Amino acid sequence: MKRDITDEAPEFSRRRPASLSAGPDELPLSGGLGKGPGSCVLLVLIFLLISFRLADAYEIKLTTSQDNAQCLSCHSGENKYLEKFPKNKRELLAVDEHMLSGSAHRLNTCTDCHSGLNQIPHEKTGAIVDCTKCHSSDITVNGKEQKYSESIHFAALKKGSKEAATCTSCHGTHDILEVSRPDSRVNRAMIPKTCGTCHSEIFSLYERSIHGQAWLKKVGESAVCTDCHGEHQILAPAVKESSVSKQHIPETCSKCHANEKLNVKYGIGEKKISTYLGSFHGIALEYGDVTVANCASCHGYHDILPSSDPSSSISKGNLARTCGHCHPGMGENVAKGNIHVAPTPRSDIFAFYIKLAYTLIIGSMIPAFAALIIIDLYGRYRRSRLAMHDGAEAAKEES
Amino acid sequence: MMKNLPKTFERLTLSERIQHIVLVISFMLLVITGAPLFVYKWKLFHVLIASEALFRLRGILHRAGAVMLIVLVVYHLGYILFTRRGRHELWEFLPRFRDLGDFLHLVKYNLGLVKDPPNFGRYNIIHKFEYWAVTWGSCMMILTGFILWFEVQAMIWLPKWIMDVTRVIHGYEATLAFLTIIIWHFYNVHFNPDVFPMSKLWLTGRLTEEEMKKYHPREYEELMKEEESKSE
Repeated sequence: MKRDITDEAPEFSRRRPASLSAGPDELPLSGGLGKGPGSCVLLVLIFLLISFRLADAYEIKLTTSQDNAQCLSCHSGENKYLEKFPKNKRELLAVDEHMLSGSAHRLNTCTDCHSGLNQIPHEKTGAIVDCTKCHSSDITVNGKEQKYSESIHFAALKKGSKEAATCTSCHGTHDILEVSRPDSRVNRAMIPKTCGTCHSEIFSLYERSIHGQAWLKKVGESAVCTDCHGEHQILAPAVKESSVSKQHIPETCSKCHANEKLNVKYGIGEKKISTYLGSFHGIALEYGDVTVANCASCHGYHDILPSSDPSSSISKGNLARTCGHCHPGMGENVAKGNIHVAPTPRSDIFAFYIKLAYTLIIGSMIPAFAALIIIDLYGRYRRSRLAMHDGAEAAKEES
Repeated sequence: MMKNLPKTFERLTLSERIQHIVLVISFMLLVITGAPLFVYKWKLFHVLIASEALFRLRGILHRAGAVMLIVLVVYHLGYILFTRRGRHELWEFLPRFRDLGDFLHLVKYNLGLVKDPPNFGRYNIIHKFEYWAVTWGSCMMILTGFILWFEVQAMIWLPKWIMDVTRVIHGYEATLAFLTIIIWHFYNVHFNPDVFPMSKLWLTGRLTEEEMKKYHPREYEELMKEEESKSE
């Protein structure tokens, strides 16, 4: 849908007969059709005129500094010329002047983007807009380079997918706004909607999740699509380098959830990331075993809900089933205790005090061993000196 | 009478030496393959265990070491209960009040507060501490290890919070055992100036008459008395 302008281009030009020469005076008006043998010829003529009636209207050479008004004389939404096109095409060809003058590109001319158009009437071919003439598709987000050319969207585009997201799918076309503007399609406030245009099923899952609910309530700190998936270099979860791959999920979630201030603010609990990283799952994952549970294995991803929600995968009632995905036969006992919570006297009294006892035993045993070893070595040293002393005295006596 | 005296005294039988060697191998295997889970932030382990396959191998070797230790413990239990020698050794290893007195005597002797060395028997407090530490440690490690190995089956009976306790014990008990061996046992059998670089007792199983007199005077005395009574 998004790329229709370019897709339609070849067909559009094919319909244009080279021999056609119709003056502006001969513009067909509705109800002007006669009857008889001549009407057949007239109909053909009208059909062709509907398409390209203004063919020779403006024989003006276009320059890059050409004023936009020149283009808008045909492509304005109010222009009657466009009425002759089917509705869907008309929408594509019509440019909302108001929108354009408010966009980030308000100072640019049409031909800055629609290059290769040197005259009116123009061929439709060659009008493919190339944003990379001015903008790099590689961006830096939080100090990390993100290349669109490496992304799954570009990979799909290369394969010939017509749905693959290109620049305009997310940023818009004539209505591109600076990212800082809250009504921009790529502003955090709009991101889920923008991605949801294509990924509508995921959007409806996200909308019901804790992140989506918070986003709907305009909580700026809530995760939107790009926080986890990245921006230009979005990769499939199966790709190791992806921010949502099994290897990188904990790192991605920790961008927000390792922040204790946020954890306290939203009642998530402390040390959620470090306690996971210290659990067998976290340790095994760090060593490269991706079969173990990462954050998403238990919490889900687009549909994450807090444990207090009975329908959450990690609610007390659902834990046995969730753990059972990997540990078949897991029973209700798994819900009797805490999962990745640092033991405190209140949360895990036994684990806390046993850990403390061991720490004290180990901490006092090492100095005790060291003391005994030092005493033993001192005893040996003292005795050997005594022996030497005795030997020397004996030698003295002899002499 | 003097001619009949053996030049060396057997301290460890072949069976006991083999048991010790099996313990050494399984202990080392268990420590090396277990430590990466306890000291998981240490970069060296991540260099050594650089792939999923190696991490899996670590788990397999850890369980192999565990099976070795279990077999050893079961065998040793049979040995101390059902053999004459084993029962005698167990009797010798039982803690007595005298051990504490001997120990204080040793400290005083080293500090120069008393002139005569302590009159140690076959096993002094150092040996007894090590033996019972290994026994206690092995039981704890095997029990908690089994629970962690068969976590789903264990959780039919045990709630999650006991699993957390189990994991704490397994890790910290192992650390305790490792440090005891590397500091205390290694000082006594390797770095002690008398035996440096290594006491060969664990291989030969025998002590010379000099060593018997020096380290186990009371046992030596008792043996001599036995010898005398036999020859009479």
